[in-house]
Amino acid sequence: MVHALKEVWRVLVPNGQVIDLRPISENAPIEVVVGDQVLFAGRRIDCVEGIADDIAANEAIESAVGSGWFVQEYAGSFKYNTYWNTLAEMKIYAEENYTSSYIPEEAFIETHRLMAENGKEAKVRIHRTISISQYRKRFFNLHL
Amino acid sequence: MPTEHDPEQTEIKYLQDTANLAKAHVLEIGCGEGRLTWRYAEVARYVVGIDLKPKQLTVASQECPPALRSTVAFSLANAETLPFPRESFDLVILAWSL
Repeated sequence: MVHALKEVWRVLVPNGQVIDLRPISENAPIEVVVGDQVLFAGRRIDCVEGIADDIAANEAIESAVGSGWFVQEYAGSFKYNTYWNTLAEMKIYAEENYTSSYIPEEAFIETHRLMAENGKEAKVRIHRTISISQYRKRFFNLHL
Repeated sequence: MPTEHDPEQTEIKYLQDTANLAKAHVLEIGCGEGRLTWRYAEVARYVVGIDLKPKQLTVASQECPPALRSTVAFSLANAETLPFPRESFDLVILAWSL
């Protein structure tokens, strides 16, 4: 990861910007949404590998900033939702895309129950937190 | 639509508030199928999206809107050995890729 940041530094113009967008490991809530109503159904569980990747990314950024390659100018977070109309669609998506997290069976069962209770208007979503940080390339760097 | 990502468009709102996208030369690392790319590319001067997954890049290229074909390109590349000269980009977006 540090090598990638070094490459980012190289291809950026002086004073260029880096935006780091990343989901935070947090066992994101699974929610059934019916109109304005949001019903908690369980949590998607982050595996150890995902959490380790998060820590490694943070360490790489800290190392790049500590080495004077970049200066951090902004750090914040926002909520990011992914929706499905049916539980089956969510299951397929999860199987194909979630390599470092999983949805426990009890969350599927509760989602199924809530969706059945609330009819065709109900959607299921995963409600994640995304971190956004902005860095600026330093003009001069004595460490490269 | 089986999967709907961020219909509230929160991600692009934060990106626009944080990054200087207007007329910028942008490198997006981890562009995938172009989910985020399409949301900002029209204000940038030029966008190169890179990813390690050829299938996703194929989808991105196929789904590139005609109006963006002259200003958006996709490439199979590794962030640790970027195939670009030094000082090529105003902005690098690490899109869920670090």
